[in-house]
Amino acid sequence: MAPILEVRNLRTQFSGPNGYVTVVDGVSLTLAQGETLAIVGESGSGKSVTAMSILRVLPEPPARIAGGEVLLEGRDLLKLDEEAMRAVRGHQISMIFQEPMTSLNPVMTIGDQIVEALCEHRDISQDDAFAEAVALLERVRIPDAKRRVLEYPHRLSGGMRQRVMIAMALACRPQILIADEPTTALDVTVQAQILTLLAKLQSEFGMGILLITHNLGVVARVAQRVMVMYAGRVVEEAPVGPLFKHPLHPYTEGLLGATPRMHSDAEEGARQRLVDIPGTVPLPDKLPPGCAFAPRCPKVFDRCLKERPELVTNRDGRKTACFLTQERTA
Amino acid sequence: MQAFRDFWRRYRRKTSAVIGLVLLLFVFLVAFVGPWIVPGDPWDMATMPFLWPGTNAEFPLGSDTLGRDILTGIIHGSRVSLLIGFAATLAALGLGVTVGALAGYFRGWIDDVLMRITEIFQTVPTFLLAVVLVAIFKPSMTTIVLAISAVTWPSIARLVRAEFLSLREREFVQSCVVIGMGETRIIFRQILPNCLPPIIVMSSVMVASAILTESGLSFLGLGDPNLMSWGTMIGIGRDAMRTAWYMSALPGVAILITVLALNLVGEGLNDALNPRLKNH
Amino acid sequence: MSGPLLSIAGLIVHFNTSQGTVRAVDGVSLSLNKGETLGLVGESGCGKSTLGKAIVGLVKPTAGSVQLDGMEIAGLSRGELRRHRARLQMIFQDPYASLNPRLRVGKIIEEPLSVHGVGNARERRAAVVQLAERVGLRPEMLTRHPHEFSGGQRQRIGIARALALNPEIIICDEPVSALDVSVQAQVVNLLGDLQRERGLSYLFISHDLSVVQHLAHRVAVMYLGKIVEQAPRKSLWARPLHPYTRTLLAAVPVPDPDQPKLIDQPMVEGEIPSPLNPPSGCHFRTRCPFAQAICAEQEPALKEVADGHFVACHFVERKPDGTVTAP
Repeated sequence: MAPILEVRNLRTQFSGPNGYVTVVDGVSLTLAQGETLAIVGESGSGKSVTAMSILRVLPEPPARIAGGEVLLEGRDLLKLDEEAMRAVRGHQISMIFQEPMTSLNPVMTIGDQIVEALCEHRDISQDDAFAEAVALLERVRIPDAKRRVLEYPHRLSGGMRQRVMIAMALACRPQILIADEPTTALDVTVQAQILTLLAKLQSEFGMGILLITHNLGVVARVAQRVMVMYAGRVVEEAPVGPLFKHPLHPYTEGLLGATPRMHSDAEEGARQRLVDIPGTVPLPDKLPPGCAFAPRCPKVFDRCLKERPELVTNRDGRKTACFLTQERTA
Repeated sequence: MQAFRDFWRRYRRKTSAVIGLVLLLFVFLVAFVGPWIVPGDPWDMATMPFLWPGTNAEFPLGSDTLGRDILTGIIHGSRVSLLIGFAATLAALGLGVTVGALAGYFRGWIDDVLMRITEIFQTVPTFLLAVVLVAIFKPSMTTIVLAISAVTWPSIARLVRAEFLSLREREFVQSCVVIGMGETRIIFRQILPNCLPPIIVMSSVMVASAILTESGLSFLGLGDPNLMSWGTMIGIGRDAMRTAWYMSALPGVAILITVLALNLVGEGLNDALNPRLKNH
Repeated sequence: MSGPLLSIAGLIVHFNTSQGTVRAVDGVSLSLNKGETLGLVGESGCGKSTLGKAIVGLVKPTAGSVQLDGMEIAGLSRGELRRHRARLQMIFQDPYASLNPRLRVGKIIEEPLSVHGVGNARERRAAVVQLAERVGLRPEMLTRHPHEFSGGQRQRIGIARALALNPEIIICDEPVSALDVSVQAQVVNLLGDLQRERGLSYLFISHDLSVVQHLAHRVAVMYLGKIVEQAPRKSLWARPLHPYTRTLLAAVPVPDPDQPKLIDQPMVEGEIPSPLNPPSGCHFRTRCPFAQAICAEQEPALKEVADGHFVACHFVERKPDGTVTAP
């Protein structure tokens, strides 16, 4: 299927005390209709900045997009002026965030906020917009939507607020939804509800979802493809099944080993040591010269310390940025 | 040392803050070395009265209604004004920090009692209260300092209380409770150092307002009769306001410069110490 | 050895707010043995953190008993509690808020020793270096301030501080939930190693069932101030009996692409109600797919249905032949 979104070689920088620091370094991705692509990584990996760069919602300065292309149906979003970009945001690409409370206006009822969002992008009367707001809340399975539409955000629970955010994000039937850690602040039972809801809405509307998360369990449950990011670069990209069964990059392997697994037989595996990756993610202005993961990598060898591995497609179509796997398949 | 260098880097980013600091240092310099350079008693009737500034090189700023040298007055007065400003602030800090810390840390009835007392002080207009206090206890350096601190401590107490209320809920304080640390040590060694930045910022502005209050009291004739302060000088010049406005204006300029400097420094300190702005 | 090291009985913590009484902990009984990890799991607002704080005396219990080695410590004043502090320590959730930003790390680790007057300055200094090395910090790091450290390193500092007095029990309040996965694994491993070396007992409070499964010997599941199920780890995962426990287990996303996609699974509706106004009878009944009239009328007692396996549900029963039926 032809991708609706294609990002090529995206580079985003932040100004620091000693000049610009590259936080996202040459990220490329594609997203097709109806597909869920997960970007996983720990804090400092650049996954959120990637998402925000696509929608151009980073404050500039201190941020600047230093290079690359973001092609939405062939049109480069990075070349659009602010007004044209506003028409894209919320209309063709929408975004939801980790903490819905900060994205909602505390002094407006949720109904008014949805109406406002609808009138921004569409030629629609207030009454129609209000009726549609109720319909949208019903679509995100908010019980008693007619009453809820008149409530203020603080009266809703975290899960309900996230549903409202999803309703607003989907108001204009976007082709792409960027979900930045949408369930991280929620309890597990509510997280499961929200993820299920997103999956159902996706099958109804067929939008592509770009899911930003640190939780590998969430990835396994909802995504078709995964990109693993480390220190601003993509280190591995693969379909979900193969990636979890047979991770190629040592960082992916480490992440999977570090995640405690639940076993139905609790004795199996439990209370064994987890694989721990020594050290921490390097700061973007203190990256080592070679592979950024080299100082923490159990399989490091000379070349990794001097030279930076590029993201290369292997014979089986998977991509990794590691000399080991590249040599093995070459 | 590193912390100080970071602080200075943030402080000097703001030009107005640096100007304020330079002005303030100048005022301090005048107060410290001025009386050596311009010796003599400011109360001495050194020359003819109503001498306009710039007419006699020996008395460049002229003289007042009784022939006292205005330059000597301003230079000696700087000591009085600064001393009263800082002493009153220090006294207000002592009381305000203690009350605020106790109220914010212990909460409950201690908080209720202390805050009601604080509110009583806050409901009375501060300057009027200071006038009444000084009038009752006879004007002197000590009573003026105490009167000013008596009207300014409530704002410190409120600030410190608010800081304590939020800091005492922080996990590092709970962690001190769990290791069995005593309450005095938690209050003074753990929490208090963490609310110093806002206290410092507020203090600089309080010194300025204490100087203004002292001037106001002296203007009304409630200054220490043995001390020549800027306020006293303005008070003296008041009677000749129409004919010789310079007598009030010159010490007024001195007050203006000092208060402005303190406010600029306070604003600079706020930007440099405020953690929310630190990362920019 | 006689009896458990720590035993909690009928513990109640209520807070009075302007909107009414918050029943944060509503009659909890638990016990913790030497060298054991008891996992306490539940969603936000279930009262698990308040329970931990009540045990160490950070929150005053409204009623109930907390016994340390048979001695009652609930409701003791801070002065009286001091003697017991050395035995009962705590590790906090937020590695950024739990260290005083103005103190050097060496000082932070030393404080418990100086507060309790252990050794002279030189001896304490040596002890601090040893503690730091044990948790994986280099001695030269001790002169730095907390803000110079990453989240994982800060949590190590917090652990060193908790270990300084050589406690027997450590209450771990979500110690790894603020950390990245790779760092979380380091801290989980460190906690496990320390337990084996020193015979520590942990009350491990967490919302993350997979971490709890990894560390705990026994697990208690909390919902709206009450324990709804408590069991040895193995039997809890082999056969979770309370409908809430099952919901919770099913909701945890597991990094296994072969498990069914979420969209194909039935889902429990709704969210945890406010502890200001919990439902009558069984607190879970408003979300429970098996709820009947009796659930609203009568509060189910926590009863032992199998060896060490306790459940509070009207529909879980132990038959005379020893088998257990569950809805």
